[in-house]
Amino acid sequence: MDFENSLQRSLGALLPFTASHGTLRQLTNDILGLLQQPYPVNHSLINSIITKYEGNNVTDANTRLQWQNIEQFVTKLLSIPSLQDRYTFLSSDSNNIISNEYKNSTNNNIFHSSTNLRYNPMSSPIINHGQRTGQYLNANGLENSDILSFSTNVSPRSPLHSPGQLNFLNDRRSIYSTQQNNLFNNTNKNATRNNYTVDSNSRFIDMPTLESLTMKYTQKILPETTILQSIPYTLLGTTSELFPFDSHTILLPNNILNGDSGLLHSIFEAGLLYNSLSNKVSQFNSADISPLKKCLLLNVTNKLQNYSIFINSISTNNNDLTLKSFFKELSNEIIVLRIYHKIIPNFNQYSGFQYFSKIFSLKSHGDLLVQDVANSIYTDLEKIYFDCLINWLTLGKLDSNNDDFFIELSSNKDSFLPFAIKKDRLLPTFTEKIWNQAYIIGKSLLLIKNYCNELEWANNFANKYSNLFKNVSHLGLSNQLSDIITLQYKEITIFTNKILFKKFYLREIILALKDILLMGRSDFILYLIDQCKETLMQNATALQGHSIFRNIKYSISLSSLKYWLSTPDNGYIVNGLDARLLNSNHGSLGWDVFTLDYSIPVPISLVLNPKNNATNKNRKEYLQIFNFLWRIKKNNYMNTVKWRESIPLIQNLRYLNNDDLSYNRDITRKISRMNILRNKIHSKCQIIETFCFTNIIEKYFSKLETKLQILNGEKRNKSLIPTKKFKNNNTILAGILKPNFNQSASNIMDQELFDIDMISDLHNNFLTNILSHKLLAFENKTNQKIKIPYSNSLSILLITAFKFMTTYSSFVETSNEINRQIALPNGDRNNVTITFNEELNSLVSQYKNFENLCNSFANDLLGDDEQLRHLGLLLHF
Amino acid sequence: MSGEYITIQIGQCGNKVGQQFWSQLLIEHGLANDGSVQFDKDLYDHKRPFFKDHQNNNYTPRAILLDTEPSVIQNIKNSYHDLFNDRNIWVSPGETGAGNSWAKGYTLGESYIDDFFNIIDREVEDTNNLEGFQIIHSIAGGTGSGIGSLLLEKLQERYPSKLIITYSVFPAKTAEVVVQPYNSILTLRRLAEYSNAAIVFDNDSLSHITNQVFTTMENGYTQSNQLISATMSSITNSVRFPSYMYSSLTSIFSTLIPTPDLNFLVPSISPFTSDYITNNYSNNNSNSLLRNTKSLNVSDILLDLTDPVNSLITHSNKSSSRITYFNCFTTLIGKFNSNDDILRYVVKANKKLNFTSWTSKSMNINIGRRSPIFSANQTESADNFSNINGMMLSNSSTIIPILDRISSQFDKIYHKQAFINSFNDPSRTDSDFPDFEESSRVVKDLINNYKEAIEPDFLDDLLHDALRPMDTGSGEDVHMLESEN
Repeated sequence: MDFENSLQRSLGALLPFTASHGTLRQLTNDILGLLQQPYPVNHSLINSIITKYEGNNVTDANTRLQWQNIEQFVTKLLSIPSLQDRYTFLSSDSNNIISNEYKNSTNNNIFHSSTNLRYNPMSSPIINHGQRTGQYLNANGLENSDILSFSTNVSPRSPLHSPGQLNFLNDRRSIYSTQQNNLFNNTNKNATRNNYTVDSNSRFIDMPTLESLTMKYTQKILPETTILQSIPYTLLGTTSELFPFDSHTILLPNNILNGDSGLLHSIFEAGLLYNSLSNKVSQFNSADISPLKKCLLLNVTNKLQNYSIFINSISTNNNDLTLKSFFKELSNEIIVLRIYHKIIPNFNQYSGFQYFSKIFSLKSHGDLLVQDVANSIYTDLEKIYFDCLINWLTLGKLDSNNDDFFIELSSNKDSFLPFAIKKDRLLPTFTEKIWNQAYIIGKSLLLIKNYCNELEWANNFANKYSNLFKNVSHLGLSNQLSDIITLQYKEITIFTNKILFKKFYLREIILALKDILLMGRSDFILYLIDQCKETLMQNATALQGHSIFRNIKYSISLSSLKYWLSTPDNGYIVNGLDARLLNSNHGSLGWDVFTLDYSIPVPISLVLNPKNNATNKNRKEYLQIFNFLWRIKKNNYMNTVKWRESIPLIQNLRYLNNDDLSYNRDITRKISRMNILRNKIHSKCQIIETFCFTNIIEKYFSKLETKLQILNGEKRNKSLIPTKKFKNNNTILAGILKPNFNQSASNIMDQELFDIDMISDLHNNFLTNILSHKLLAFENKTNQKIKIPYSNSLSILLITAFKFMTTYSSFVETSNEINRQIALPNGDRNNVTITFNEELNSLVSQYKNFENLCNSFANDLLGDDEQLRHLGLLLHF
Repeated sequence: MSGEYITIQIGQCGNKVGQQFWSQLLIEHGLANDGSVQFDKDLYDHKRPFFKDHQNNNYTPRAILLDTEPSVIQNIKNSYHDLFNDRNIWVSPGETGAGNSWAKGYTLGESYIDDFFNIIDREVEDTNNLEGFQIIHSIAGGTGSGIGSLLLEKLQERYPSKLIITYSVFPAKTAEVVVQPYNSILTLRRLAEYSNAAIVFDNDSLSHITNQVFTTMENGYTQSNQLISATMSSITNSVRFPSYMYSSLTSIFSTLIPTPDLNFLVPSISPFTSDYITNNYSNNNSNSLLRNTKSLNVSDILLDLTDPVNSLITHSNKSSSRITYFNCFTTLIGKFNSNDDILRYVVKANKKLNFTSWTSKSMNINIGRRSPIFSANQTESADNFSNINGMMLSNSSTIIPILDRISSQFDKIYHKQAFINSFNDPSRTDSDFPDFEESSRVVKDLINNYKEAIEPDFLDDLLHDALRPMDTGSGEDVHMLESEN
């Protein structure tokens, strides 16, 4: 190539695209002319020549810059004295000239030249030169994505297959392509806009080869070996001169190849993940966290240590390491770190159980690597959980700091057994039934140990099952464990039943509650009223608790309850019985404030009282029912007493001989008729009483009683052996002719077991059923016409009946006074007859009032369900 | 209103029925024939009202046995060695029987009245809170009617505030004793005036029902007595096996007897089960003695009880709808299915009963507890719900025909002064002894009371009369206050 050609090519490269080939040739000739000048060329001359060409070809500032470059180029060329040197200058700088040309023409748009990647694992990795704030290395993306691994069937650079994949490598390549495309697109656009047609045959045909162009550029690129030396530090979160690393950002130098840059992006994700995880671990390591979370942190720590070892081993043991091979070695670790990173964020927001549950679900993830990681973490967590579970199952021990366990301490710290099962903390390893059994085992064990004083049994039980659990400890929360739990549940439930029934008289106490507070033994109530009758008729303020209590004891000794006084435990059952005086209003009688109370002894109170209020030994439900029934009994008692008093009254009147037999007959007749009114009101009250006892209390109690008898072994559970009865009275085993798939054998066997919670539920349901009966419920169940609850109507009816009885009582006294006046030789009957008539009138009035109320109530009942309709029919006058 | 009851069994009939009654109670309370506890399990029963509890776990019936001839009592003593308190047994020392004469029995009783009350008072002292007396006797013979009448009078006088219940066996239509109308009318007066609740059995009905119930007629009276004792056992069931209601006899009779003028009660029983077959038969084969052992449900039992054929007194009306009922008390003893709505059956049974307009128009019902002894003897395969016994006590017009019959029988023979000599005791100074005419008047008044009570407007006049002025008997009119209504 001669000098002229070299010069023309160099100038051609420097000239703007807008300059014509003629301009190039003419400029070349002019510069050759200058070069051939024997004297030094003045710079102004050069400037004038360039200005001449520039004036015809400057279109924008960019072009002007290019002309300035030409001027500098020519000035430098003219400063070289020898031709050979000029030739060398033209040859060596040609690539530089082209490079600069591209640089200038794209305004630094080649991202590679100024690559500065900023990673922020907590938000998103940022590339500082564009809008490519992509998803890769984005912690949020990691958390929101279900895909935790590269596809194992494609190269790391291949796009992942599912939407939302972390396709950062592909993205990065896209960036490059986009830049390149933009470059060319922009060029073409400019060319088209200026009506400029590139003549490939004219100008570029003479351009240098790519090799020659890149030769000088590649000399400045960082060698891979240098990069590889610094990578391990970065991967372990250490900053280096080459890759400055602050907490969230790694800065890449700009003199690395695009391909390497992409690889480094991938590789350094591990460093960022490692760094983030390390920070988390150190942040929560000393925090007061639950054992499961501690275990999880420990697992992460171990993982990070293994990762460090792995990185060190790669960097030290492998001499043939390249970036690609490094990435290949590291790719699995990156996925693993991602999994951890997906788990760890928001560490303080999630409970240990949530992690446990999440990891349990990942165990069945479709990706084997994820499965492996989940299994590794799960094994550690399971061990901790297993230990907690065994502690609970064998000792009833609950770590107070453990809010991950499926049992928690209830808010009521005063409660004797302050535990509650958390349904949202049941791992699907077992069915809910098994978890519940496990819950009952610990609770029953505590009951047996702490409140039933059966320490020896509890120790033996704990030892026996500790050994069994040891044998299956390596299996974790396995089916074998659940089988043992079921076995254990059955054993402890049977024992608990035995202890509660035989040692602590559970059934007898329930019977006592029914017989005393629900008046199942009316003879006791009658004795009690008899003993306290004078006190009960007094003003409430005169009542003295201790005298009533003495009467209670005495009444028990007289009544059918006296057997309870002679039990081997010296009256254990009836010791809880006490009297309570309610707050009295002005003018209240003893009747109104008296109530019986029964303090359920420990440990039965722990079973019979509401779960959330086990400290309260008294059930207010019983008191509510007692107070209602007490009013009925009060009316009954008054009726019976007055019936007895009225008999001798009439008998005496028959034999009184006075001179006015018609008066005697009239009085006798009226007393007799008033008796009938009293009897009729009493009969209606008896119907209500019968309904309450038979259709409400006894109905629900007999269901409870049947269950208790089965539990106490007094009665065989017929349902255990289901039978079917034919019309001809033949009985066969159910399912023998036609299989019944609804009831499995295991279900049948389980029916026999009632744990402490089930017993508690039985008892609670019994009380709830009574109090929610329409007739007794204090709300919702409304009397249709006057919109008040039936219980209110009932109360009004009973109060009206009592008023009648009170007036009748006065009437009997007045009648006795008439008897006395008749018997006296000069008795004055006038005043007493007036009183007699007034009271009689009042009785008739009250009777009619009762009749109206009763009919109204009965009418309401007639519109209700069948049971109440029958009551309505019976109550109707 | 709660306490003990002293049972006084008088005469041959009274003592035989009493024997049956106590033997029934011994079984139900798990006691042996000597009163010792045979069944150590708690039966949740209440023995105190009928038994005296001794420290050595022995029980003695609160019973007084009176008779004018020794055979029946001796038989009881032989059968129940040491059961009864010997000091409570009185047999006429000189006389042998009352000769089927009310007057003889009454007079004999008068001469030993102090002895009787020595026994009675001593027994009363052994109670904590005596609730009342129940007397078992027949009204047709001499001892039961005569001494029974005397004791009714004297008990009323001595213990006026105590309940007196009588279980009285009425004679059959066909007179076994020619003077039985005299005996009956004289006793009926005392039952009307002094008994707080007179529970009536009549021999015709007892014979009829024993034929229906039992397969054997070897000893007709034994079966009849079992029917009576079954009734007594049922009436007292809620006292001896207390439950929610009716734990005193007073509470039962105050429900049944609206006014002392209407104090005669008629029992019905259905079904008669093996629970009530006691002595001489082992419980295992007792079912073979019964014609019908098919179990009945509650509804069937209630309907049966309302059927007059199961009534223990005979009456001409074959349909219950012709009988007017004032009050009914039904006790069902046994274990019920908790799903049974008893009131539904009561509503159904009420429809068969013709209640008079002024009553509550419904039977009162008590669910009694069957003695656990019966359940314990029962084979496990037996259905618990099948052993339900029913008994109904009714205050109704059923009593009118029988009272009418006795009254008319009396009128016939008294009009002729037939067999009157055996009632004349020359030693007595009181001219009106025996008080045939007064007794006849009282019985007629009693019948009238019942007949009046049947009328629908029985109460209406009172409710209206309350507003009008009333004669004070002193010649001045006292005006009633205006009624509030």
